[in-house]
Amino acid sequence: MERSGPFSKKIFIQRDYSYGTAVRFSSEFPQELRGKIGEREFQETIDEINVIFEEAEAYNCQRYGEGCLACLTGYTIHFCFKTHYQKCTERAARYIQERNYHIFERHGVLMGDPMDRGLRCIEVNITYDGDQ
Amino acid sequence: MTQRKWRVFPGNNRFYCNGLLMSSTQVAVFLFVIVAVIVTACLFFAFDCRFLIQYVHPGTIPLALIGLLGAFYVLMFLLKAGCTDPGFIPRARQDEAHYNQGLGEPDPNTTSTGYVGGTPSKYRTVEIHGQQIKLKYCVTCNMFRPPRASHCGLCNNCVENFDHHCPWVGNCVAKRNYRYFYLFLVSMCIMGLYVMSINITVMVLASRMVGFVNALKTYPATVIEFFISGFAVIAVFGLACYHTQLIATMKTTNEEIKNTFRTSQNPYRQHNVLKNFCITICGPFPPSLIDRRGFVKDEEHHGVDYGATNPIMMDPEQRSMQDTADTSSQLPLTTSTDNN
Repeated sequence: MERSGPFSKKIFIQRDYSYGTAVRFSSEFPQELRGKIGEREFQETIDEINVIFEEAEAYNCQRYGEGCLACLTGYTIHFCFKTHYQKCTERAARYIQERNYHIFERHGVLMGDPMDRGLRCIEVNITYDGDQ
Repeated sequence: MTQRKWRVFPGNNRFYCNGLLMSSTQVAVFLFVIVAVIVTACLFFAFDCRFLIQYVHPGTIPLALIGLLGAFYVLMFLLKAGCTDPGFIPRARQDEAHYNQGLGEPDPNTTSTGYVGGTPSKYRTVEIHGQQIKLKYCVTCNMFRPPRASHCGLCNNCVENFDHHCPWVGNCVAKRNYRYFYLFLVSMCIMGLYVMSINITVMVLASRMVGFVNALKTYPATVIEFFISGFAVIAVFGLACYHTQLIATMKTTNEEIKNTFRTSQNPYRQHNVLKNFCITICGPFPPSLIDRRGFVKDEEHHGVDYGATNPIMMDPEQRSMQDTADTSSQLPLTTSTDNN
């Protein structure tokens, strides 16, 4: 009997809205990842992403100051400098790439940048070996 | 072949400067507002300020400078409100759409109509600060709309924190440009009153010199400015007050009109009025999610579906709707493979 070749599956980690509309992803471990990567590694990753976005959307005096400054310049300052939020999304993308490279890739798991999906979800590509 | 994403962006929007700026397709009123502001400002500097500096006192130059600064702010806020991405949520591609449909819960209303094999659910319930909120499935965008998002019929896309579609700025007013819109209203109000008060001053001083009737004849520009500014203030003042109240209670116009929170408390509310204002006006700047200037990848072209996890049978009507939505979104592309 011919063995079916490796196949892949996509899952989408959804947003966690329990704390309002702030960007947060659900750290519930998807069943599809069982046997591929550890639950702890997965949760660590999602938690770190959540921390980065929490920082991006944090309200503090520094952010208010930046907002006021941008407003006073008629928002022309945004032509010259990246916003704090943009830096954070880039950091999140870099972090995911790092995790992919160091941990996930060798287990056949590939996590996508949430910005690719409009911060709605994180795409995870799982490749299963055919004989599994 | 590399193509910028704005070229294939589905929905009724126009893009300018290679995707840097965007607006809806109806921009006539927006252009009219810009022209009105510029004309009034020019008349103000050319006639009123010159009159004050030449005939009254050279010390009135700061009045002209304040006017210049105000005009700059009004125009910048207006342009920002009209030309930024209001917070469109990119439509879900085929693979994600399949997955999303599996997330919904069976809807008793649709199952009772007796479709065989179950229908895609229209709702999904999430809990926000302990409150149950229903998310509706958007057939055009293939996803459950995030809380507070709504589908704008004119732009034909879902928008985050949808407030309203404003014909005056020719754009949706939502998460990303609400602050510009509000600041435009406020600055417009202040500048309108400012210009009107200078107009009155000029008229009073001029009529002292040459009499009221002659003053009207000599400075018709002042009269025109007065009426334009007066109209602007009347149009904008009420709206500015309304939005001030909305910001204080952290609501959107959409929620206020639909009376979303009549039975429950607003789960998004921050409790301190001052903090609500700070967050709305000086808070973080959420990035644009549609990546207008990015390049289209091949995968997005073909809508490749690597095996969805929850293939749910769709009812024919919705399926055809989705197909049309998909083909419209992939208009200039090659044949889309239907993997259902």
